[in-house]
Amino acid sequence: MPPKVLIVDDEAFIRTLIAQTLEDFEDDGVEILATGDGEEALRLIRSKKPDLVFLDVMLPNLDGFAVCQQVKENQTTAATYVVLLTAKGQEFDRLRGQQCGADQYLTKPFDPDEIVSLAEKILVH
Amino acid sequence: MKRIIPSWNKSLMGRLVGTTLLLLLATVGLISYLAYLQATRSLTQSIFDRLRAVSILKEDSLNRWVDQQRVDLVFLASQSDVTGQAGVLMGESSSVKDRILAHSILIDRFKSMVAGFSESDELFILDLYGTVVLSTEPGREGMSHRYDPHFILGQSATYVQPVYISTRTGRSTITIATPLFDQDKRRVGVLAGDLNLARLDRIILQRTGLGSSGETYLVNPQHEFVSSMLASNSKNRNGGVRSYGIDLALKGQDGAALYTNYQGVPVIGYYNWLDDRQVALMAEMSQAEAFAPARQMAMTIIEIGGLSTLFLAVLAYLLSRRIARPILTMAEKARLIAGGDLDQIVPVMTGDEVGLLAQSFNNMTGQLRLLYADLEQKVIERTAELVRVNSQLEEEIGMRKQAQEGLHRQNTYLEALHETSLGLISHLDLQDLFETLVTRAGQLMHSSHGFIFVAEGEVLECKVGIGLLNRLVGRYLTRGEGLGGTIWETGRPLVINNYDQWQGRAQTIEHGLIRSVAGFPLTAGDQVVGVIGLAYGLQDQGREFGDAEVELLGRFAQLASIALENARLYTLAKEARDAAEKANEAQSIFLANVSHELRTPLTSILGFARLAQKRLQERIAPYLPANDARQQKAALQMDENLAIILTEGDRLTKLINNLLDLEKIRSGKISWRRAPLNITEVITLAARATSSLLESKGLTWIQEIPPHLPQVYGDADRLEQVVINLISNAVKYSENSPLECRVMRLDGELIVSLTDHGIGIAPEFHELIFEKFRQVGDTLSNKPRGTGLGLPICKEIVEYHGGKIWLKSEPGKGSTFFFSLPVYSPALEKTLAARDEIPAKPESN
Repeated sequence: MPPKVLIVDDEAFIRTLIAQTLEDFEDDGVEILATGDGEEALRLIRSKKPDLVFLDVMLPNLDGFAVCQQVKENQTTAATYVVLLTAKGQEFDRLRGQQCGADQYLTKPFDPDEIVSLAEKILVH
Repeated sequence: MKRIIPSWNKSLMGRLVGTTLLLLLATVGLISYLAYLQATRSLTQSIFDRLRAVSILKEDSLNRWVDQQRVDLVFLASQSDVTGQAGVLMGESSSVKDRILAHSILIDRFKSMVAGFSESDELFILDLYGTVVLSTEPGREGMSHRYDPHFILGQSATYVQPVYISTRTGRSTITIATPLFDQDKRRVGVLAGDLNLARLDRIILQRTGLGSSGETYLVNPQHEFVSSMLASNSKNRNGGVRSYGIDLALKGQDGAALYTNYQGVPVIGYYNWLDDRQVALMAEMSQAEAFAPARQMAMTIIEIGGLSTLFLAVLAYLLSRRIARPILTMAEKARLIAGGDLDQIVPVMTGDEVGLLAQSFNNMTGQLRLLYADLEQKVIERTAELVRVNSQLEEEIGMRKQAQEGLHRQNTYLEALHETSLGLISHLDLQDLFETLVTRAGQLMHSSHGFIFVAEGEVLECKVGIGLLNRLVGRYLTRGEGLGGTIWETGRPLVINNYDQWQGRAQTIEHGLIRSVAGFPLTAGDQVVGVIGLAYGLQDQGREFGDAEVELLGRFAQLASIALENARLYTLAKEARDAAEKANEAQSIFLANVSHELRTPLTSILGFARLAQKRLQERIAPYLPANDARQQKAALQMDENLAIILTEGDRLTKLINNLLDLEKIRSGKISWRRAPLNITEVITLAARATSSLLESKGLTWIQEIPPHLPQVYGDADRLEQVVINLISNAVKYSENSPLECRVMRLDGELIVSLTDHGIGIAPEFHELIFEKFRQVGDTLSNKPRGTGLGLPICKEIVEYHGGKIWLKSEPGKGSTFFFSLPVYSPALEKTLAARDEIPAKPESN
């Protein structure tokens, strides 16, 4: 089974940005999924079992912290590597991110190179 | 003279006569004592001699008596009838009948002996085995004397056994034994006799020739009296008969001594050990009797001496009286003079020294009399003066008392006013304060009824009513209606002392309750805004309002006016503050939202620009035809333009971040970490974080920090931000030069300095630079970079830590930025903690 990456952000441009950044991986057979909705994201994680999720915090229906928490609480999805994306860089959010079990934390605006190095780390062993 | 006699002991004469008497008595006492000692000594010696003589005499008598008895017994044993009968009695061949006969003959013979001249208690015959075969004492026959010395030794020769305790009688006994033969000179047994001790007593105890207390007696080694008369006496004594003399004699010594005898009586004794008889012979005489002559002599000396002393005392008294009399007279006069009688004169009776003394005494008295008269005059004058001063003092005290009473009244007012003023400060609730005011004013004027009306538009509303007037609360008065309305209209105080009959009264209170009412206007500026009043009921013992009460009520009215004004101002201030807070809150929310809203597009802009740049560099530029100069140039320009978008986008991001930071610090929403920390570490970390920045401008980092610096206190991350901001600032305005960081210790502070060699800053900007959106670059150079918020954030952070930030600069040569931090101490920790008592609000999304 090819590796999968899920991009969750309500901003279409951000989804496109991350998808484009990961273009080279897609060429190598990595499947790229994307959604702008929290609940849809949770469904996709459960059905498609992506290896890596870029998860925005501010989402309609279910926010990023809640999605992350449910992913990490469920045995079948707990192994998913979750990278939280947020516009806030303050201690308060960082703490909530840790509490919900996120593996990594990126502050907007992020450098596309950071996305690439993260994907390399998780997808290419 | 009679008055002097009671003080006889202490008087001169007393002492003279007393001393003489004492001396004489002492002499007589000493003489009699010495005479007594001398006499006793010679008496002791003579009595010792006497006692020894008696003792020897007694010993001799005893020996002679015992000897006589021995001779008698031997004689008896040698008589032919005795030997004949003994032969029959003891003979082995004799018939029983013959033996009985011989026995009865011998018993008769012996009994007649005992009853007659013999001094034996008992005569008896022992056979060859020591068994008594015959005895004058019935019941003794058959007893064995086999181990007794008189049997063992008596078989071979006549033997006198010394004094011993008989096991048969339990008494001290002397036994004489002699061998008994039959007619054929065959030894058949032993004839023995126990001596009669009553006879012994006669010899020893009686006729001692030693006066009434003299005593001679025998004591055996068991410390018992040998005498039968005294024997019972010794049995009752614990440990037997003992005394110093007896103990020595029983050790075999002879001699004389003074000691206490067995009865506890002091005696002179002679002790003598009679080795033949194995007893101590004691001869004693009581010391009382022995020394009686000596005592007698001493008594005589004392008697004679006493008599002569008495005679001499009388003589001394007569003599001393002659000498002392004038002196005593003088003493008595002196006593009278000392008592105040200065008219006493001492008669001058003799021409000798005593007479001279009397003369001088009279002169002295005269002097005294003069001085005393003068003194009396002075005392009279002084007394008069004292009386005068006293009356003045009393007057003054009276005046003070009056003043004090006035003061006390004033104090009571002031106290109440003061309490009320405190109430004004502490009670922001107007209703509470009004009630307090009316109650206090009422207490001071002994009124329990009062009210406060406050103007509300076109009517007066009753806010407070106490006592009988509580039903007024919530009622309204129009202008000119009743007492309140009248005061509102006129602005003057009003007192109605017969309220029920008053024409102007409003129909708010029933008749028959209130006697008198006083009201005072409450004012704000020159406007009447309310009325305060007190009332006395008909039950209040005819109290009415006077000038004093109205004046006091006026003061309370002033207080109530101030309270009203305060409340109004407070309300205004609170509204303003609330509005400001709301505006602030709105600004914070706005900033948070804006920053979020800005970041999302920024992410896209920066992300896509970066992506576009990468694609251009990696996938387009390398494939452009090398000979097409226009395409090559366009690609280079695109690359440069994208770089500008990225740089400016970064700047915008920083601006937003800084703006948020500053806002958070200013609004107290930031949460600070507080811990003792090492400033050197902070600086080193900041330098490491900015190393690539420094490199890009060719700046050399020079760090000169002394070792062993004390710790400072605060948030290490924020302080690192300060250093980073200062470095970033320096980087902006300098290049290819050293950047020097130093730390100094000054008093209780550490001072960090950062020196660049850049363009410098003009003096007029040295303070402005720390304000928001000020950048010296704006005016001095054409390359403003950065957000303009870095230094203001530094200032906020440093000041939060209790430090200061400033700079020194010379345009064109460079700048040095300084900031100071207090050295860590528990006191500093407390100060900073107290400042942060108000907890930071959680950040809103």
